[in-house]
Amino acid sequence: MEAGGFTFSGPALQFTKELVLGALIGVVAGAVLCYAISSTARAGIWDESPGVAILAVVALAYFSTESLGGSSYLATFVMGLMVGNMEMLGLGHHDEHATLLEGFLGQVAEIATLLVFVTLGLNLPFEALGKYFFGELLVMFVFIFVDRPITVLACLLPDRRGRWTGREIAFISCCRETGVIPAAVASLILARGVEGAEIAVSMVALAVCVTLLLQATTAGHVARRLGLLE
Amino acid sequence: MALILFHGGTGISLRVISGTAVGLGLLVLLGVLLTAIIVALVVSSVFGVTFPVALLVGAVLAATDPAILIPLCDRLRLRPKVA
Repeated sequence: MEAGGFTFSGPALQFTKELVLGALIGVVAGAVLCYAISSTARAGIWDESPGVAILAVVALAYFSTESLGGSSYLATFVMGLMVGNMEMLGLGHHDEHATLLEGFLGQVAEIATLLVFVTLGLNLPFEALGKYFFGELLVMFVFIFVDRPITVLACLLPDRRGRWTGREIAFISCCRETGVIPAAVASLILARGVEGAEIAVSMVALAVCVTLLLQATTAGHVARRLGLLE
Repeated sequence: MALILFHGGTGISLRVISGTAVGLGLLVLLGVLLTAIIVALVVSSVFGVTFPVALLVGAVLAATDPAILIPLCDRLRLRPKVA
């Protein structure tokens, strides 16, 4: 598919390569990590200090994937998925080790989240935000109230096996926060001087503020009203 | 970000999501594409930019945020299927 000088085939190929490489490295590194931290007789050389093992293997896999041109974020997510479901590989944790691991990961992730949002706040482009403000508000209205419900309905209605209820679809339509990933990508294309990057950065800044204020703060109330809490 | 994503991955039960795999797969593939295209249509008419430029803005906006959603879902104690 081609539009002017823009082609989809090159980026699509690159995208596929990044996904495949990221997933493959994630599976291999995830398997190594599972064997290292599990508490079984045939594995578990690092089972008493899983935090150290996780930091070491995640860092190694992240930078290896990055240097090979794969998606390092996908690789780390796949590793987490494997560690969280290691019983499916026939591996497991003692309860005390599982609690230790959960506490460590929760604290590290919370600190990382705080740092990400401090950085995001420091880099908000207030000038561009003012320049495109009214147009952005219109785009934001469509983004939240038109685009998201249409997308969720189009994706979940065909899934008969999932038996999605109207309440579940309504909640997923209401809960769509924008944050660190779009902000990071927008900053990247702005730094490279890509056409339209200024609009993207200011759109993302507004989307972060609006979705956090409008959706993140009301998600609990909406979930309670829809009866979706445990 | 890597550690946030790793932590998010550990909280996902493959048994829970296996029942809704089709819907979730469609959301992360078709959903992102649809979002990018719809946003691009609005951006191109509002800001008067070409469609490829508008599509870039749509693609940037299409990603959701694990740094917000994962802790939010943990705190809310949502039903596993929705979380």
